Amino acid sequence: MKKRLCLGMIMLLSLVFMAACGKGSSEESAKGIKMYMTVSSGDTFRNALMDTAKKKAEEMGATLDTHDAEGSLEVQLEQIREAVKGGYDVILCNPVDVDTTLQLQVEAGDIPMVFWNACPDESRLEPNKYVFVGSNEEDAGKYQAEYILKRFEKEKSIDVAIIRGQAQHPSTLARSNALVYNLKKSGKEINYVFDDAADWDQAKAQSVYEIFLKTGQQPDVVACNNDAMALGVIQACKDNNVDLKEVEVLGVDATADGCAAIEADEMKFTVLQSATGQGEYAVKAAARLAKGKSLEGLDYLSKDQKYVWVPFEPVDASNVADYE
Amino acid sequence: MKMKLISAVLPILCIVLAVLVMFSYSISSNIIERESSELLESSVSGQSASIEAWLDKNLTAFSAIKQTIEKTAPSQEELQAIIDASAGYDSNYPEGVYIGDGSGKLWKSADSAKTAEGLTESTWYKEGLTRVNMKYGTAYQNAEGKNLVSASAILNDGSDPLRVISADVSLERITVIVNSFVQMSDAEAFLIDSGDNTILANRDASLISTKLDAAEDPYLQKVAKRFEDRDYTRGTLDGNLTVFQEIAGTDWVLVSFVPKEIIFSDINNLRMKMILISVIAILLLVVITERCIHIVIRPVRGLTKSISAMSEGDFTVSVKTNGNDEIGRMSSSVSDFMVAIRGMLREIQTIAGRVAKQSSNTNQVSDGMYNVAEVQADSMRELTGTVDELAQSINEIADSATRLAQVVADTKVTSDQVEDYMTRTVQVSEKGKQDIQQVSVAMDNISQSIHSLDQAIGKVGKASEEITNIVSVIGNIAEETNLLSLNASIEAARAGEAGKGFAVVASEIGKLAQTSTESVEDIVNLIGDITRLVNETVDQAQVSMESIDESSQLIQTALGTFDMIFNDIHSTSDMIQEMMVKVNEVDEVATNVAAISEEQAASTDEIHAASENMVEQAQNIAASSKEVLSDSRELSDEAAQLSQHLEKFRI
Repeated sequence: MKKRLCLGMIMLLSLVFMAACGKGSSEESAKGIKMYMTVSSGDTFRNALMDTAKKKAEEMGATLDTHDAEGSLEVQLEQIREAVKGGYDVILCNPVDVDTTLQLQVEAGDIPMVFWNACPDESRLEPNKYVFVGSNEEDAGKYQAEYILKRFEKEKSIDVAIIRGQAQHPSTLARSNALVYNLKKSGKEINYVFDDAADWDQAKAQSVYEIFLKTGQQPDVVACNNDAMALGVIQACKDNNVDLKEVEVLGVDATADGCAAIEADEMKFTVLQSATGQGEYAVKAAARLAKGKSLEGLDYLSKDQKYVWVPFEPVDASNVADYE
Repeated sequence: MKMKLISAVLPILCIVLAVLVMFSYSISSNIIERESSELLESSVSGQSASIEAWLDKNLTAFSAIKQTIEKTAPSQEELQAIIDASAGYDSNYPEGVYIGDGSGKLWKSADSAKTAEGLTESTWYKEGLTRVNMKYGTAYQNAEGKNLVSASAILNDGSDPLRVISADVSLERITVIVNSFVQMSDAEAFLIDSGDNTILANRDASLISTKLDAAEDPYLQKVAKRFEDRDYTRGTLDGNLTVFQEIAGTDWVLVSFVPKEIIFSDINNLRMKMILISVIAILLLVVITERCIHIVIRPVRGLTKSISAMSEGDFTVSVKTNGNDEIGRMSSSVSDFMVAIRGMLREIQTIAGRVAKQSSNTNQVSDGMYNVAEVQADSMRELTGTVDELAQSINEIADSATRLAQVVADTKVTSDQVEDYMTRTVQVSEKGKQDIQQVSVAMDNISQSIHSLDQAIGKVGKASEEITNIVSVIGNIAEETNLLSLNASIEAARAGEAGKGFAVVASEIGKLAQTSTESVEDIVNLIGDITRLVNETVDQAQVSMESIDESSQLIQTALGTFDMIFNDIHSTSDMIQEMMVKVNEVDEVATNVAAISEEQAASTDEIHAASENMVEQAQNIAASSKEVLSDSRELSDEAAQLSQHLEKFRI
């Protein structure tokens, strides 16, 4: 009896295993699938993302309805209930508050969800049911490191200054750690002549950098966690007669001011979170979840299958015109 | 018997127990591993929170001092007072804060043993220059050989040259903190600076401040590899369950591990016990099985003896039937069985005898039957031959009939054409008749015209005679005239001269009379010619009249002949009509005959097929009867054998 039970369990296990192995991954159609997209509140970036998502959904044969929660958690919960009642197959949710993810999931019941723009805690995500589509903050730091290494390819040692966002902010840590890690991996001698936080703020960055300038040191490159702080550094250089040709200032975000600074050849490099890329992949992931299919084989899927990391896009003088 | 049962049961038992032990072991070890990992993770996160809190508390204190100095811009004495106050305030940083500038000048507390020597090259100073906010730097050894970590930063008080404020925390202190906050028994923890892979804290004090990459311990080498890849996920490294936790606000990573063998020591113990229990259980089961089998098979032995006797054909043995269990019931069943078999064998003997007799009868009958069947098959074969010929003849008839029908049909077509021709002939001859009638009428007209001509010529003759009469009158006149002229000439000559003129006239008149007489003579001659010609014409007309009359008569005769031909043609046409009717009738009949002959041919083919089937059947019957014959021979042989076998049983 026990042997038979054991045999039964072995068979069950192998069935599960086989089922897990037998999935295709071609560019699929999503004919007839109903998608419900809710945004915490629309801004330029999110609206662009939603427009792309809607276009992509139509291209794949699905219907996608967008709704704005206008910053209200209650409205968003009501929207999720509406999606359940409306018989939608999948919900694309930009949570008003990531700490309320569990409540959103409870309201959605069995409907799979794709979170976007704001990332819930890892423990709230579940492969093939609750996934996050966004850009990996670490990529921003990685791209900065790649730019630096390419720019100073011939130098044995590079003097680097880092201007960070708020010290404990996850984006600060992810961007800075990735930058440092990738520079270290190159094997070059990297001297961090300055490394301090300026809390994402342009004025603070300017004042911090002015203090640093008093040490009389001149870094090869100043890598900032965002464009605003990069602009602060540029201002500090201008005010102290530092030739911006002698120092490469890098930012993140590709804001309008940042792009203008690149255009003016004051800032050299920034990276952009791709609204179109995120919109496209949110819909691709949603289509698979709606059909009950695994995300396996989807580009940029993380190993644990909980995240789809749409890459940042590097912006420099050669392509800045595309992003203004 | 006993050994067989035991050797069958024992391996199954062993496999089942082994599977059970392995199964429960793997489940329990999974559970334990997962729980240990979670425990270790919660331990390390608690521990890191404690370390963060400890570091943060110190850093806040340093920052507060820094802030005070920056905001109050103290004089040298005030600054010294602040620095002195910071020393000894907290056992974590007994020497308090100190300040250095690029010129090598050092501000320190009175208790501090720090010297200004090599200040600008010192780690704390160089690190301090890279930031404005206080932060812990990398580990280093100070002049006294003490392992330290300094928190330092630029003192942003507008002084020139720039000054760096710093405070030292000893690594031993940090090690105590790290080791004291381990929350899982048997687990260990150590702290690494991920910036340069320096070990900041470890239970083994000799490792502190050394580089992770330089470590000889294989476990630490594996950890170093993880740092190289910046892979801080949970895992088993060199037999140690290891978790990593980054310390916020620093580049430090807390590593906590517990050897797997410690985790699994309990479960291994459990596994040993389970194996031991399994072995004992197996041994016990073997003994019990052996005893049970022994008790159970004792009554079976007697029964076995009886059954062996039975198998040798002896049904006279007796069987003991005691007990009411399965074996007892089996014994009584065997006894009943033996009685039944005895009766059955006797019956079989009688039946075998009868079968032998019957089978020899059957033999004869089937022999006869076989012969008859052979004859029948031959007859059937002949019959088939005959039917075959019949079929051929009928097919020929059918062919002929079909051909006849074809010929008749052709004839019919030809007769139709003849009929057409006939009709046309009738029409043509009628036309001919009408034409001849018209010729006859024309002949009559000609005859009348000739008659009229004859009469006209007669009138011409009369006119000629009258002309002749008139001419003769004229001739007479001319002669008298001539006489008169002669007379006149004579008279003129008498009158002499006076009558001379008159003599000329008289001669002229004489000449004229002469001429007239000549003309009359010409006319008479001409009229004579005309009269002769007219008479000839009258004769010719007479001849024509006669010819025409003859032609008329001939035409009349032709008309009669035509009538006769016409009548004949009519009757021919009628006859052809009749003939057509007959031909049609013949056509119908011939077609019918052809159809009937074809049906007949088909029927004959069927009969032929049927008779061939019958031949086959007859042959089958012959073959079957042959089989029956051989079967019945076998039957009689077997009946004989059966009788022989039955003789072996003792009943």
